[in-house]
Amino acid sequence: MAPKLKNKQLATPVVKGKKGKDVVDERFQAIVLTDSFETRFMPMTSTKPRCLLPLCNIPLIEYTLEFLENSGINEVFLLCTNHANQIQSYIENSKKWNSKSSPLKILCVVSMESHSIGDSMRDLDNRGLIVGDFLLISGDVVTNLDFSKLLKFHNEKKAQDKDHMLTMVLNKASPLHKTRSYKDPAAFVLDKDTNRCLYYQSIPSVDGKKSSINIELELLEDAGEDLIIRNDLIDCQIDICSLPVLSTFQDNFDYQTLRNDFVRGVLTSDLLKKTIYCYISNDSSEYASRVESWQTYDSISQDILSRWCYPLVPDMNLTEDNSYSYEFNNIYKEDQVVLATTCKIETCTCIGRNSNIGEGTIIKNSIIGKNCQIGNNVIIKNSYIWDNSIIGDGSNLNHTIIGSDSIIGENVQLFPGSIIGFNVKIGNDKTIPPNVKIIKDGDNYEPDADIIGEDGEGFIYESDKEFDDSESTTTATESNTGFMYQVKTLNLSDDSINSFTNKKMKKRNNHKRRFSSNSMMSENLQFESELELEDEDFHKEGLATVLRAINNNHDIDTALLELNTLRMSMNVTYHEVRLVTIQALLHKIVEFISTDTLLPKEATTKIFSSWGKMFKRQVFSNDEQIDLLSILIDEISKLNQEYNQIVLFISVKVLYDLDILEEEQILKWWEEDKSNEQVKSLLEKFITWLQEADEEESEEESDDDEE
Amino acid sequence: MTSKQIITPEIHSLIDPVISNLKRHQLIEDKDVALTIAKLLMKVISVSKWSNPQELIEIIRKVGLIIHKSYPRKIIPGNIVRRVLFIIREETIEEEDNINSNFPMMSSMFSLLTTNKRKEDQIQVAKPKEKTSDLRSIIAQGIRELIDEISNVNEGIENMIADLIHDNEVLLTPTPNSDSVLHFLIKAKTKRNFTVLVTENYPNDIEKSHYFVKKLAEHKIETILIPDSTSYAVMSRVGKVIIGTNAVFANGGCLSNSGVSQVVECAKEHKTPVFAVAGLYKLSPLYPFTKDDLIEVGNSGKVLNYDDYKLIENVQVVTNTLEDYIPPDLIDIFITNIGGFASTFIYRIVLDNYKVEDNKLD
Amino acid sequence: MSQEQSKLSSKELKELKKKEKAARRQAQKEASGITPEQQQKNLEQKLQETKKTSQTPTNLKKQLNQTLIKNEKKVPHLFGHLETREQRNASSPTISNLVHPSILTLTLKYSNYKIVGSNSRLKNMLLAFKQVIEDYKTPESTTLSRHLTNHLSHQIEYLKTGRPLSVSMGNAIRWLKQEISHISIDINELKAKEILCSKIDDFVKEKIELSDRLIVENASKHISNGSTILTYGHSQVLEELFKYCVLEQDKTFNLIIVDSRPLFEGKKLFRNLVDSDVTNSIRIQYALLNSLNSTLLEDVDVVFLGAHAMLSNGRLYSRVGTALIAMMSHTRNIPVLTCCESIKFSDKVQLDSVTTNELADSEDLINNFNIPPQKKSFALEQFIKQEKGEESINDSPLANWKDLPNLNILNILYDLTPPEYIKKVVTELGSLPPSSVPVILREYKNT
Repeated sequence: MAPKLKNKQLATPVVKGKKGKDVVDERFQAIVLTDSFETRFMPMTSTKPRCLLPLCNIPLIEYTLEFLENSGINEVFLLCTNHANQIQSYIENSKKWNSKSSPLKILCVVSMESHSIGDSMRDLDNRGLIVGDFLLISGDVVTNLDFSKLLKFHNEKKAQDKDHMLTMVLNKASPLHKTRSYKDPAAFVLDKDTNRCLYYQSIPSVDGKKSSINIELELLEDAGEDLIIRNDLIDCQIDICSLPVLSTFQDNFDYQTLRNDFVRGVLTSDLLKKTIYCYISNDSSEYASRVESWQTYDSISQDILSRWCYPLVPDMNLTEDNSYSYEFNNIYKEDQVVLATTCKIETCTCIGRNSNIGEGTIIKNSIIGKNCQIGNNVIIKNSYIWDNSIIGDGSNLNHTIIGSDSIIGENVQLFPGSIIGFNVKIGNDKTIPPNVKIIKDGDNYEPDADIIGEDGEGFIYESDKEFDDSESTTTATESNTGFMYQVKTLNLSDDSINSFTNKKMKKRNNHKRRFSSNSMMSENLQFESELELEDEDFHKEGLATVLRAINNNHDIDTALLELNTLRMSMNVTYHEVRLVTIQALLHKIVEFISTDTLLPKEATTKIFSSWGKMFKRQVFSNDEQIDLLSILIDEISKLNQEYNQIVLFISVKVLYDLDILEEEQILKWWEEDKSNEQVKSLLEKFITWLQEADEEESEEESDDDEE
Repeated sequence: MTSKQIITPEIHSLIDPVISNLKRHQLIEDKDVALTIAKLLMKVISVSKWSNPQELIEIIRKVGLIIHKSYPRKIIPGNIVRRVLFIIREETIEEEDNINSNFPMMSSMFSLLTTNKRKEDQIQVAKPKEKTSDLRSIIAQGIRELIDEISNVNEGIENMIADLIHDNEVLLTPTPNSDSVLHFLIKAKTKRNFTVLVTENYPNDIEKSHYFVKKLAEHKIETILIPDSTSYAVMSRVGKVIIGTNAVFANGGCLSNSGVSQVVECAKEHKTPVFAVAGLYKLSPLYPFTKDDLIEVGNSGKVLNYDDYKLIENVQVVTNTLEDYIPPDLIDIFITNIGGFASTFIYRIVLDNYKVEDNKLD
Repeated sequence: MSQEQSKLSSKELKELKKKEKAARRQAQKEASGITPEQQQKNLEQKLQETKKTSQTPTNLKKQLNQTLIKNEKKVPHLFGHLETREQRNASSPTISNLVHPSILTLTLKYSNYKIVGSNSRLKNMLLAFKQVIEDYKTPESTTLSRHLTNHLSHQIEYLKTGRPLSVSMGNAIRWLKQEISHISIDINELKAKEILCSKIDDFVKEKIELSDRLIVENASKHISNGSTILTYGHSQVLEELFKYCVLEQDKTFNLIIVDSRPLFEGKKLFRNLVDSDVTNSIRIQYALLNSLNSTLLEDVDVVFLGAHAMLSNGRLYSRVGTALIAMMSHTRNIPVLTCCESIKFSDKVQLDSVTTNELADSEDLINNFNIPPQKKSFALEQFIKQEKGEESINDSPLANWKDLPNLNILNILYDLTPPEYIKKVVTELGSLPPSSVPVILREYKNT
């Protein structure tokens, strides 16, 4: 950033202030996408749009607007979908953006019908607001980029290459960098000399596996001498677009996302013949990143506190009502913060106005909002506490987020990844397990006094039930669990399996979403067939995998890993996985029986007792147990009638012994499922035995069971 | 009067762009800051409505406070605001003196004790309208002079060269970003032959230091660029250390670039004289208190590369200080555009240019 | 006059082309991985070639050229007495035929800072010498004890072209030569070589590895739980000390790593600590030299400094910047300790950092603002320059600094810390004040 340049920048606003806006010749417009059509910030985004969530106690959108103002942009269109009224009123009430001297003209464009970025772009094109090259930026970008350099790059490329359509801003990082998205990392294939983007490929989430990208050879034919494939870039979704971008969206009405659909589409299209360039800053003091998941929320907050994006730091006091001052070791405090004498404020901490910190409290790497009351002997590490919250004495917060106006009782333990929504109250001495999210209102969610406490207010939010009204406009790309990923421990531990469950949900949502948003379109069929194809493939592959594992006597973990990999890459549900596993096991049993190696009973016992354990990692909830049973009976009923009864009997018994199926669920299923009576005859004995055993155990409850 | 009434929207529209530039740290060159603020205040005085000097002082103080809050660690804007306040107060008092010219000036203990009271009485006297327009132009004239002083600051400093450098002397400067030092050295070349050692001041000023040494070498001055770490090794051969300053406090201490303090300490250890170059506008009536309030901390990315994931993950704190506080006993003389002074005498110069009542703006 | 100049320049051109050839060969060798035997053969061929030409007048002129380069060197007059990299390299081709390949590679690694730090330089040198001795064959009509010393001297001569010998290397060489002279003439060659090799192994073990162990144990007493330690750059023994405190003593402490341009050795220490997984117990702060003043205001309990050598007058000769830190800590009453093996003790006396020092390449300060210099061998650099012409790669204002006659860039590697700044020198023989260094030296010489 050369100082000379700044002087020039300084000169213009002064002039403008005097003569008004009519002297502005070169308008540069920016489109801010306030909605990303994702649900990564649920449950917080159910009541507040993402761009108004506080980052370092300042609404996220302020960072983007600051960048735009600093860049000398004149007109900003805020594209609002979800919670549009909130965004609108925020801008209207902002002293800064509403004042006459503000160089930014902000216009909220509400398009409630938009279901994706693509829809928004088409809507915007229809309105005809955009007149020339424009900046497309999402409303959650934090950057101190020198825009003039970017614009220079863009204009140079435009002059050199008349097909130039888009300049993307990328930031150097390393593949496992904490600020790099683990959610949708992407690889870029660039021309080394010109930085032209030749290919874009998103990579499945980081989970310790290697993944590959396929590049079609013809794409590379017109490349220059050297090309580089980079997997170390942060894509911060700051793009300078030329007008044809909008019309391209218009022409390809199936384009939904900016990167996976649009960029890939443009790059692979034979007809368009348009080019895309990437701008990668060389200045080590330039920072650009996007708050697109809880994980990046955490790391960007820390980056801001550690002054990586200076001068964009809390003590810059972006909004008028802030008054942060800096102290060494990256501690920021506002006026009227009351600290008890024995409390310990460690590195990278930010405390908002009027907050009280009690005796013996330790705070590290955390941000505390305004008017918060932190009790005595509280330990707060890597946590984000939003305005007006109260934390009781002796509580322990680790890697958590506490929404505004929440009350946490005394001696509460919050484990990593837990998220407490707005206005929630948690009783004393409670423990919130990892990755649990609690929200205030949840008609559909189960209340749980065990977790929230007798006097608590709130419900556990489960991402697989997120089909309420506020969500209907979103294409759920991801509903992640905890916001913290410790890269060091990022392997296939039980935790990550846990997060996989949610991914299944995501995919299911995704398909549904796609159908509904495309229901009028002819592509509908194509999508379906695609889906079937996928499932078909998985079926074959999965079956083969499990059989191979059994035949070669692999250990269960390996088999599960393979299966999981397959599941992830093909995007199928656990239902499919269970189905495939059962089919494979039965196939093996039949093989044993038909070759007369083993009797049906022995074969079933052998196979199920050694391989039934696989279901431990495939069955998690009660519903899924029932699902497993239904699959089992469906599949077994297809077998030879001579022995299918015994197979069913043994398999259920073994699974029961292995603690995969619980007695309660078996009974419940028995009550509900009335099909395939023939096969069940033998199993009935087992059920009666179960019921009897149950009766013996607790005679009082036996009546209920029978009903 | 509340602040809202004092600061009219017209004033706001004037100061807002400057404030956002200060906030973003886009306005960093000391001289530019000083000139911008002075010009801004001139405009504020011309657009604002006031009927007596006291009101004007109130407005300027409020504006000063807003400017100060936008970048609390920058000393220069506060200096300029106080200098302007000084001008206004001086003019007002002069006028009072003219009106009450029958009041004899006595340099007795009695007059000293009574002056304060007298002033307050006079200020409360409402001014006729035409007086204010007169005052307006007088104050504007005063500010214009201040602007001239700031713009020509380097000329004043250069006059003392012959007294300070002997032939074939080896000088060392740790502030390659200082415009004043550069001018000083280039001017000195016309009278003396000497060698200059220049530290790189990595990481914040390294590019500037390269421009600096290039400029010096183009003026046929023997120039040697050294890394910061080398200053102790060469100090035994250095005749004088010359530093630029960001701000000078009333106690004679000063703020300069980070890394300067160790060079100056080195010089002290080797009994090498140190002189600091500072324009008058850098003198501040304030006293330094804690380093937390004084020292600006910059972009961590310049210290450790952000893409160096392995180190970033494991480091607790990376601090890139942009400034150092240098205590008064480490500096032998200050060279200003109005002459050279020992650091112990700075408080007097400050008193000549500022009014004590403006030290606190809020 | 002008003719002569053009003549000279054409000669220079020839010289450069020669170097370029050498560089190309070097590169090829490295790339194709020619076995040492082949290399030896090549060397012998070359030897014959050079023998033929060595006495010709052209060779004399070449030497004249070299002196000419010397005059052109850009070194500040204060440091004019120090040998530049160009000068060191200029002498290399004449003896390269006698040099063992392992020494060739080692020299290369020295000169491009692949191997830095006096401990690792010493260790690698001794290992290379072992190789030299193993491959050594006594020529007829001479004895091992007489000729091997001579042969080694050639190796050392070449090694010096990479970087000047460190004090510890000098000490080790002296010891080795003494050992060689002690070998009696009656012992057969194979046996003698075996003895020497095992002696070198013992030396490395005793003087470096075990010494370090003792020093680490000794120095670890100064690191208590929760204390704040400041260190500068990278020192092998200090790195071991920090690891030892965590891994074997289970301490947790704060470590401030101060670093400086252009070598960024502090990053190396940092990286090594991260790699050995001790960062959970050590809270690391990283700072550059320029923020030292603010950093030192934090509660630093003790400063640990590495050493290149301890001079007989009690001064510490170490990486440039060390003196600055010692001074600043001294004035703030923070104890300064240095860890130094006795092999690094030197009987030299020196008063300031100017008289004896090592000049590094000035270009290192121009290129690469944020990363350590990626150096290539001298000849290769020359070659690249030849290929690309004078067109410079970077757009920094000093890209063509050599064209400015009044501009010099000084990049020295060491400075001298006066004894009064140092509280304690930790050696394997115990801890002592700097003033006791000469005592140790006498004791050491007697053993």
